[in-house]
Amino acid sequence: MKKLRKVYIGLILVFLYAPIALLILYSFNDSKSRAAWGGFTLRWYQELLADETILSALGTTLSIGLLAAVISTLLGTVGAIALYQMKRGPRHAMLSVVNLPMLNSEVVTGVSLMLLFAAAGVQTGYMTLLLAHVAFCVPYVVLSVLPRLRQLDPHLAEAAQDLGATPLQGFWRVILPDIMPGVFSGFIMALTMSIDDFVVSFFTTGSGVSNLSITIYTMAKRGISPKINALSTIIFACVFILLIGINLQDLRKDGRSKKKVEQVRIPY
Amino acid sequence: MRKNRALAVPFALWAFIFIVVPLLMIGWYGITVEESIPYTEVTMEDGSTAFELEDGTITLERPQKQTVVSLSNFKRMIEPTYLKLLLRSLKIAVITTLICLVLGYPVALILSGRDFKRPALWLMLLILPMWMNFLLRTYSWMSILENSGILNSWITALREQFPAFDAWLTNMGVGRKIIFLYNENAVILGMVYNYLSFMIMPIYTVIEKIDGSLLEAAADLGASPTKSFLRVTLPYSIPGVLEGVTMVFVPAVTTFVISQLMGGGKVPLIGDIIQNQFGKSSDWHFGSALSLLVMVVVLAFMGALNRIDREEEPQKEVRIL
Repeated sequence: MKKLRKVYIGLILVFLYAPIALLILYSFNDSKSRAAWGGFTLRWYQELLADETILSALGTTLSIGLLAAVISTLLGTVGAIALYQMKRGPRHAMLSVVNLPMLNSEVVTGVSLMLLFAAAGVQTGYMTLLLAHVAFCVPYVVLSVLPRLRQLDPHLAEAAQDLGATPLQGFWRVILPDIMPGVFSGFIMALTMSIDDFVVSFFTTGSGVSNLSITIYTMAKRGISPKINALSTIIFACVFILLIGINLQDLRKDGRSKKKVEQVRIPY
Repeated sequence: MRKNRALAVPFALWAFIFIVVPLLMIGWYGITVEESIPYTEVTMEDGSTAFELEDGTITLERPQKQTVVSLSNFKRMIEPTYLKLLLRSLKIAVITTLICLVLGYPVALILSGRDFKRPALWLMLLILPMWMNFLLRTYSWMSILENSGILNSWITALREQFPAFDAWLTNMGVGRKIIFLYNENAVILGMVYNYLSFMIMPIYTVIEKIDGSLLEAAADLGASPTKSFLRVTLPYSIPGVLEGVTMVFVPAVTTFVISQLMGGGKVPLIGDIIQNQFGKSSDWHFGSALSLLVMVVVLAFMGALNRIDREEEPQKEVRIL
C-alpha cells in the first residue's frame, strides 16, 4: 500500500515534468525538424539571445512586473490601512469591491479595463499595460496586508504616540515593521502575478508594446520553434534555482516536524 | 491608530475608477448596440452632397452611427451557435474539474499522510511547474503532440523498428501520423495539466490541518481506516475541495488560450468568442454581453458551491460512529 502511494505521487510528478523535460532536452537538439535528434547544440540559445523581439519583450515583462509590484504594494498597503480604519459597514462594502477582480475571470477583467481605456480616450500601450497590471495586483496586496493589521495590537501605536512619536513616526517605527511580512508577500505575489499574466495584458496593450507572454503566444500560434524551447529552459532554470533557494532554509529545518510545512512559501 | 480619512478617499477613488467603472462599462456596452441612422444622399442645387434623414431633415454631415439601448445582444446570445459554445465550455470545464479532483485528491491525501518524510519538499516539486509561464507549459504539450511532434516521431521510429507493431497499428486503422492535437481531448489535457496544482494545494492545506487526535479517536473507537476517512477526513476536507473546484472551474470555463493552442481554433470556447469580439470581429457590444454571461455563470457557480459549503460544514459535536 505504501509503495502504491509513492508510485502514485511518482506518476503525477512524471505527468507534470515529462513535457518540461522533453522541452529542455529538445532545446539542445541540432535539427530543424524537432522530432529527430540531430546532436547537441547551443544554436537555439545563440539565436534566442540575438532575437530583438524576444529581448525587448523580456525587458517589458520585467520592467512592468517591477513597477506594477512596487506601485501596487504602495497602493495596496495604503488601502489596507484605510480599510482597517474604516467603520464596519463601509469596510464590508469596500472589501467586496476590492474582492471583485479576484472573483471575476481574467477575460472579464481584461475586457473591462480595455473598455475603460477606450472610454477615457487613452491610446493603449506601455502606460495602459502598467495601469492594468497595477489594477489587478492591488487586491492581492490588500488581502495579504489586511490580516497582518488585524493581528496588530491597537495599543502599540497609541503607546508610541504617548511616548511622543508623531503619527508618521509611529507608522514607520511601530506599525510598518509589524505588517512588513504581509507587505513583502503582497509584493512577491504582485510581481509573480504580473510576470505570469497573459490575458489581461493581451487586452490592454497596444502600439507594438508586447511582453513575454504575448510574444510566446504569437510565436506558439505560428508553430513550434526551438527558440521557445531554449527560452523555456532558461526560465525554468531561473525559477528552479529561485524557489529552491527561497525554501532551502525552511526545508533544512523541516525534518519531520509537520508544523513547518505551512511556512513554506508557495504563492499559488 | 488615528483615524485618517486622507488614506481612505484616494483608495476608494482608485477602486471606483479601476474596479467599479470598468464593470459598469461592460454592463453599458452589453445592453447597447450601434445602429446606423438610415439616410439617403441628395444633391443640392449648388452641386454639393447632403443627407436626408427619414424624418425629412437634411444635414450636410454624413450621419454617424448612434448607440441605442437594446436587448439584441442577449437575443443573439441564445442563438443555437452560441448556446452550443456555452454548453461545450461548461462541459469541458466540468470534465476538467472532475479529472483534476480525481487525480489531485489522492495526491493531497498521500502527502498529508506519513509516507513522505518531507512533504514540503514534495509539495514544492508539485507546484514548481506552475511557476513557469502557462503559455510555455501549454506549448510543451504542443511540441509533444503535434503531427510532426515528438510522440509521433517516436511512434514512427518504433514502426520502422518493429514491422509487427506497424502491421498491428495499420490493422487497427491508425494512419501514418496520429492526430493528437486540435480536438476536445487535447484541450482537456491542456487544462488538466495547467490547473491540477490549483486543486491539490487547497485540499492539502485543509487535510493537513485536520486534528490528528480525531483520526486516532476514530481508530480507538473501532473505525476501519476506510470508515475514518469517510467520516472524518472526507467531511473535513470539503471546504478545500470546494476551493479547489472553484480555482479549476473558473479559469477552465473562461480560457481562450488553451483552446486556441491545443485546439488549434477547432474547439472554440466562450472565451474565444469574447476575445474575437474585441479583436477581429470588433463587436464590443456583443463581446460585453458575453462577458456579462460569463460573469453570471461564474457567480452562479460560486453561489451554488457556497451553499454546499454551508450544508456540509462538519458539525461541532463530532459524531464518529
